[in-house]
Order: sequence, then C-alpha cells, then structure tokens
Amino acid sequence: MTNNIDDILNHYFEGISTAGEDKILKDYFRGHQVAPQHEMYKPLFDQFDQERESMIAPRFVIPTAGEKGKRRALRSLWIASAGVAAVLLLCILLLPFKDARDTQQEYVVIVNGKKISDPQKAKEYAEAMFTQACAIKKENYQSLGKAKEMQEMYNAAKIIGEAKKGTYLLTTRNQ
Amino acid sequence: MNAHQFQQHILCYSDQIYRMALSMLKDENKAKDLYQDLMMRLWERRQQLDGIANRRAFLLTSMRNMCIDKLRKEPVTEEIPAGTVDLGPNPHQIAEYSDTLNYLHQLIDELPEMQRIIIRLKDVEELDTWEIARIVSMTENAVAVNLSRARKKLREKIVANQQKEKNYDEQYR
Amino acid sequence: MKKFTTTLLLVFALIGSAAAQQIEKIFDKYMDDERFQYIYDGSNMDEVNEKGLKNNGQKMLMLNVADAGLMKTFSGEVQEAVKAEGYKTTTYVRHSTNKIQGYTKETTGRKDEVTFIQNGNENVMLIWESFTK
Repeated sequence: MTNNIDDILNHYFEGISTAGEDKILKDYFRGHQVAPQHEMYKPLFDQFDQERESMIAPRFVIPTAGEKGKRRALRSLWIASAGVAAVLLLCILLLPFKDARDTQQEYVVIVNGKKISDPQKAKEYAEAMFTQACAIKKENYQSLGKAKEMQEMYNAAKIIGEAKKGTYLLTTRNQ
Repeated sequence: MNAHQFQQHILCYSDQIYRMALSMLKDENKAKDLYQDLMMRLWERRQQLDGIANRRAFLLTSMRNMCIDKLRKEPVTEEIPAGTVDLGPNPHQIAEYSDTLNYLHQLIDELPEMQRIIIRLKDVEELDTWEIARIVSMTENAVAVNLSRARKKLREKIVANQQKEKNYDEQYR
Repeated sequence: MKKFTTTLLLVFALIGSAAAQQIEKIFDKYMDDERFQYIYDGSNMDEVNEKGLKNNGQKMLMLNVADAGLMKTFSGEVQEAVKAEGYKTTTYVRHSTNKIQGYTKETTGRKDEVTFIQNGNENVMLIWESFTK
C-alpha cells in the first residue's frame, strides 16, 4: 500500500495524477494510518479540506422591491429603523443581558423542543452528552497524537544516525 | 428565471464563486463586496442565464474577470519573486497544528496567481482539467503545466520546512 | 438633521446589539427547536481551574436529525459566527468522516472557547465554554 501511495504521490506532485488517484490520496490522508514518511503532506490535504469547508460565501438576499416603490420603501425603512434603534437602545440600557433561565438552574436540558424538568434527570443527561463529546474528541485526538509521536521517533532515529551528515549538508548549503 | 430558480441554479455555486474572489484578491472584505456585486448583476440579468450550458464555468469565469478588473484598477503590488529566501515561521511554531494550516494557506497564497487559482480549482473545488481550462481561458495542457509547477513548488517548501524542523530540533535538544 | 439623528440612533443600536455574541444567538435560535438538543451545564460555575480561569458555564447544541440541508446551514452559521467574532482557530482535526474544530477568543477579562464536532454523518455538536480571567 505504501509503495502505491508513493507512486500516486509522485504522480500528484508531477501534476499527472488521475481523478481516481487524487481520490485515493485524499481518502488516505483523511484516515489515521498515514505512514511516517507521508505525514508532512497531511496538513496540505487538510488545508484543502478546510478551505472548502470554512470559506463560505456571505448571504445574498434576492431583492424584491420594484423600481417605483424603492424611494418610498427606503424612507419608511429609515423611520422604522430609527424607532427600532431607540427601543433597542432602551432595552440594552435597562434590561440585564444574561438569560435568566440559565443562571438560576445548574442544568438546563431541552430535548427536541421539550424541557427536562426533573433536575436529576437533566443532570444525568447533560453529563452523558458532555462525556460523549469528550470521547469523540479523545478518539480523534489520539490519531493526531500517534502521528506526532511517530514523527518524533522518526526524527530521533535520524538525528542520532545522521547528525554529522545533517550538519555537513547545512554547512555546504550555506556556502 | 425566477427567484426560486436563481436560488437553485446560481446561488448553489456561491461558495465556489466566493472562494475564487478570495483567492484572487486575498482580502476578505473586497471578496465579499465583489461577490455581492456579481450576484446583483447576475440577478438583474437573470433572464439571460437560462441559455447557458455550463453555469459553474460561466460563473467562475465571471468572478475571475471581475477580480482582474478590480486588481487592474488598484496600485500594483508585486508578487514575491521566485528567488526570495523563505524565512517562514519558526519551525517550533510549525509544530502547532493551527499554525501549520495558516502557514500552508500562506504558502498557497504566495504562488503566482495562475498557479494559485489552478491548484485551488483542482484541489479545493475538485474540478476537472477541461473545466478549469475553460474558466482560466487556457489549453488543458497549459493548465496541467501550471498545476504541476504549483504542486512541485509546494512540495519543495514542505520538504524544506521539514528539514528546517529537524535541524532546529537537533540544535535545541 | 432628521437623517443625522436617525443615523446616530442606528449606530448606537448596532453597537449595542453587536455586543450580544453571535455564538450566543445561535444557541438562542435553536435551543427550542425540536430537531436539536440543548444543554446548559452550570455545575462548575465560578470554579477556578488550574489556569486561574473562572468558569462561567458551558452550553451544547446537538443536531441528531439526518437532515443534510439543516446540518449544512447550521455548520455555515457557526463558521460565520466564529469568523465575525474574531475567534482564532486553535484546532482542526480530521479523522475519516469525523471532524473537530476548536476556536478561542480572548478579550480583556474574558476567554471563550468554541468546539464544533462533526461525528460522521450521525450528528453535529456545538459546545461553548466561557471563562473569566
């Protein structure tokens, strides 16, 4: 499998990989069994995924007002906005910010629109959900932790075995 | 084309169009403004959009052309020349995963414009070469050459940083 | 004069409303939605952790329904909110179809942490923890 990945990686960086090979590479780097010598490329593929998922377009609101009514609508909007702004300002100055529901109770649990009124059941449910979240995080971080551990081990072996050679290369490159 | 059809056939490509603007302009606010401008223009000319065969290619080309116009009107900022020494962040910082991703984003942004656009269309948007060729008005062969150069450059920089990290560990352990 | 006054009032309102956190608005929006589960845990309220930060409670929103459209909308709103509020990405872990994104925002006297977990195609979780320095 590693040899195959090496070949596909070479094709990829030469710019001659097929769509199928690109998919194999992406699935490989999304998994948790990335070989140590390929670890340095994982962030590149993660970066592509992250860009696709996090760079989201702002919302475009399809205009509905016709040309004739535009000015009148705008004037009404100004007046209405001024009124809303005045009310909002009063609310912000006079009313407390925090949600009263949250501060008075230790646990608030609402499942599918219905609040769990029994405090003990709410506590048990809340603890179970946060434990589940921690378990998911732990499982996924383990793969990252293992990869980093393997990388460090690999570096240690290389450093001990080739320390002088590495220094020599650095020296010659800087000349 | 009515509002519902506009939503279904045009706005479904919003994210890709926005990312094209972001990649070319490298400025979130400008990209957002230009994106809104394009959407407004497309909405105003929606009746002419029905006959277009490949809408995605048309939309991405339109966005690209608007970005080129915008960049032409602005003061010229030179791209980083090929021979510039890569100072990069401290290798110790690269160990932090979030900094790694920011660093890679920066590496891609530092590629020459055409290579940057093509590699993102290929690896982020996952478009086929023929479609990319249509969007950037090049032959498929030229797209392949630019893609190859972009990926090779990234590989060189990744490998170079890997070496820097090893040397740093060696020096400070 | 009239336009100036209305503009001024608008500006005040905008400043005030911007103070209400966008992440908090997402919780307010979906907490009573029957497709979601909402949990507030204030059991550790006011406790000081090993980093010297005082806990202000944590909230979670979980979407279990296999509604790809809603999942995409919800994820998009979260991404917009963290970007608008200036959160810094501290973690991005991807493992098969699972994904964890961690964000932090530090202001004077306050630290907020947001975690967004995508657990395969089964559910998504949004967790918000707030601390006082």
